[in-house]
Amino acid sequence: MIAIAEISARDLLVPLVAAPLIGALLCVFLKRRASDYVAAIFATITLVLAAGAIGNLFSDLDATHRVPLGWLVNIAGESRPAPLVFELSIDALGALMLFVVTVIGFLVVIYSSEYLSPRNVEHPVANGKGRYYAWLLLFVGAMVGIALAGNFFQLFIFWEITTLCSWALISYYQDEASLRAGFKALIMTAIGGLFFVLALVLMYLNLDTDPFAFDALGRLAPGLRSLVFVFLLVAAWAKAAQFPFFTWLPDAMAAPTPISCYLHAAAMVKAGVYLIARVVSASYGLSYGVGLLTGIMALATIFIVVFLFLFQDDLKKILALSTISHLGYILIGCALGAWGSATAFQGGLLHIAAHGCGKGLLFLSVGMITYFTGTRRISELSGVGRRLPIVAVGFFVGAFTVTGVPPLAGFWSKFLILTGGLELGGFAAVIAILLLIESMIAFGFFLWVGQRVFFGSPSFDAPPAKAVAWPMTTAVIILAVLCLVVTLFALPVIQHIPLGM
Amino acid sequence: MVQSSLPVMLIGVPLAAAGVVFTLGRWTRLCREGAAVGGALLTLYLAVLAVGQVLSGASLNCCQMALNLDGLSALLVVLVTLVTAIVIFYSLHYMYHQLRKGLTTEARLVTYYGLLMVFLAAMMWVCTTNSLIWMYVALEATTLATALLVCFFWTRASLEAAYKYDMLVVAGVCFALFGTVLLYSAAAQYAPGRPALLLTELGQIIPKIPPSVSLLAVAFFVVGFGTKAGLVPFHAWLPDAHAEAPAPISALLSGLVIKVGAYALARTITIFAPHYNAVIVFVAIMASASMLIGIFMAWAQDDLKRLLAFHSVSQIGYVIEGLGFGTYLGIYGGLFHLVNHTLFKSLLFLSVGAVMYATGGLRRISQLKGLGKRMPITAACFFIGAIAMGGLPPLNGFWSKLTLFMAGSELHLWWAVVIAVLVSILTLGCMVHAGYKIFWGHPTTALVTNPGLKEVPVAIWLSMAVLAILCIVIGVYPQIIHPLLHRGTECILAVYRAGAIP
Repeated sequence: MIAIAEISARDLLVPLVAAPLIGALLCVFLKRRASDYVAAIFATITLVLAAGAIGNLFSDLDATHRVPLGWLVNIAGESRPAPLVFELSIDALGALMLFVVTVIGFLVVIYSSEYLSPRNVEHPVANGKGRYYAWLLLFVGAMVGIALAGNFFQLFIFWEITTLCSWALISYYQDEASLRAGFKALIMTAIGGLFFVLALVLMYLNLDTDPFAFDALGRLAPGLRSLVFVFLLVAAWAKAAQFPFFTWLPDAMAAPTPISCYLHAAAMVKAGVYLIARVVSASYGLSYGVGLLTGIMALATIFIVVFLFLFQDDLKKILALSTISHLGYILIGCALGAWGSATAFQGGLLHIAAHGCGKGLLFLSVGMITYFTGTRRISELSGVGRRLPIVAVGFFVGAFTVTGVPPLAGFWSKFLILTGGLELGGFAAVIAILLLIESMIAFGFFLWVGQRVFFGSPSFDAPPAKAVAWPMTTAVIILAVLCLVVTLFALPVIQHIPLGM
Repeated sequence: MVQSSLPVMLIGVPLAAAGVVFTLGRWTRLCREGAAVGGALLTLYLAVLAVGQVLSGASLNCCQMALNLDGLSALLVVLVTLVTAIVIFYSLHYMYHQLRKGLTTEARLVTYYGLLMVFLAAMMWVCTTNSLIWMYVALEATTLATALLVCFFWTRASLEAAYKYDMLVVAGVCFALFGTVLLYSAAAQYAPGRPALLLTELGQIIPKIPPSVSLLAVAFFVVGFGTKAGLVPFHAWLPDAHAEAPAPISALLSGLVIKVGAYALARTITIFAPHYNAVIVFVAIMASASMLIGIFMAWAQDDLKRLLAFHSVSQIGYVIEGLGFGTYLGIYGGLFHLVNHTLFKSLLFLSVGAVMYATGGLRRISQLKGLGKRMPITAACFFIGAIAMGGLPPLNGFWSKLTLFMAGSELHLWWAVVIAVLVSILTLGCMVHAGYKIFWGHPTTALVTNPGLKEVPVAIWLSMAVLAILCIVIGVYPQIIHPLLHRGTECILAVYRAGAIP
């Protein structure tokens, strides 16, 4: 018992990255039930290790624990010291991301064991599960790698691995639509990745020591700092599906629903906003202009998406569009943070967790609807609540979370962002008011969708009593509870995330 | 400087193996396939020995400096022998299968393995020779050896391709001869009583030559060796030869033959590059044109092998651009990309060969669909090659491209960096697009739904797996190859530094 107590956060980091990767490797060779069990076991191990690492961090939330793993080859000859250090590190911001990634990753793995089955009405799946879990666990591993990355360079490596994983998973069903969607996602995010490369190259050429450290931007000359920030921002836009790169995300709905859930709630797109949060948190002296660019583009994205909402009949596409706008919220939190509002920045960070839980819940609920009914068109559904009460609860809790109904998590995050905006005044206050308007439109829209789909006379027969699908139900219930309580333990962590000024 | 017989043995062993194959190969498989495998493995062993010695700081020479094996040579020697050995191993089953199908005869197989050994010897000679003139001769020898392999099946198309290959490359490489002669005429007076064109001494002589002469010589070298390397606009031979050759030979052509062109350029233009800014820009323009035209042509292809061939045109642009930069980062990146391209392009050609093996010779993207379910290993190998070429981490292509981007930025050649980045994303798109068209989706055509279609035998996919694992290992742990690359880069820079001292 004492031995366990003495394990520090540092000792857990290497196994934490290794566990999902080992699981992924094993799953390649497994089939059906065996792969379910192995994937679940490794997802659990990852979750437990992550919980240990985060729990250890609580003793001193301002600390950064680092595990140096080695240097990259020194490609600059003898003229400079070897610059790149591979290291795993965990601090408050990393812990927040790690929490979202591992919890939702675990729930998605559990959920998938039932979703990918011949009983699924929309997409009966008989085999190919090993490949699915292999990519999913690799995805989890890559996201853990992003959360634990100690510098931009390493973050980039894992970033590109998530690109590959999402490409393979979006294409999973291998029909024309999903192949095209996967290809589109790969190309658009790879274009963003190249901007990231350019940013790295600029950092490397202009800094002699630690060119890729998170605080590197602060050490660049002001003009160059803005340029590098814009390059990173473009990379984040592509990854986080912001205007003008947002079109890949609705198409990516061709993926299996648990994958959509993971892509949206925790993984792929959150990597983009995490990068910007990292930059804002670690670098000082960001100009007003880059904050303005971030804010205006996010605002533009949010309002473009709100109009696209109204023409959608596909439940998953609505959720995809909603994701895009909520990533805009997080980016606005970061932009206001760059202008100096710690409150708004914390709101944006809290929204990473709040939106993760809420949107994850929405996706898992919609996944259950398609699992039982075989359709996700709003016009073809009604009275789902009568047949699947838990799904109805999940959907409404999720919808209220992301639209910001108190006391759910989304309320607190939006509240903080709005407060921060109003405190700053000026244009920031205008942004805050516009956000409030968008929130109300989205709330009304979700209410309408919920009422249309869940109330009224049932459009389909009750599922057989045997098909309780407990892995899916469990995942939905856990996430619904998290939507309520996540603020309680996320906020203390977030308050220790510095805002570089 | 260490006297050693290793360079001679590197050339001698495959030549001896070729002799065995040609004289005795007619009678037993042991003296045909056996001798080829034995010869390749023994050469590989010698190459590893040489690398071991070179890494400890020596450079091995013999025959009064006629052969000299330094870091750069060692890099090429070990790469060439490794890939040739893998390709020969792949050929064992692949060519035997052609024999069973009646596409070839036992006597022809003697030619095949014999020429492969001659090719290996010629490649060793290019890499170890220390004289510019002999390098030209050895380069022609590799062309002749492979030309006969390109037309191995004696079909009309392959004969035409081989003829075109031979004509264009021989004519093109003649320019390198002009360059050499020009250089010799200018250099001879500064090296009285000694061979004037030793690579090891070139650096000291170059600064004394009038700039007009050496610039003209560089232009000749770029045209000559650029033809061999498949640089635009001298690439016309490349798609035909790559497409019509048997799959293992395509892998050799793209993996190794065009690389000796790049190697020869590395030995020559980098000597001049630091002295003349114009040379850097000239080479960067040629290389960028090569990248762009190669990738645009690749997008237009339906034939998989032609598609890969145009990608070679495009990728060799990266190698030559890096070498042309003439800085440490540039040369390092160029050499690194040379190694990586050899690995992933051989892998891709072998994978396409496996597809042709399994489907009875289909190689058009439009004819193939959904092969991945039946051929998972081939599909995985193809995608690893495709993504490595697209330059995504954690595979090897990423590291060399990153180094090249850095090198270009360091020189403030922003337009070159932008083109390189653009071509990188186009490459990724083109390869992944082709890959998912072939391997994913649901099979439709009768041939692909044919129940007899199955994964290639282990004797074939093992070679691909080895290459794929090499791509991953270098990608995850690039340090593994750093000492050799560093040594090779230093070799080129040493010549430059010697020349820089007036």
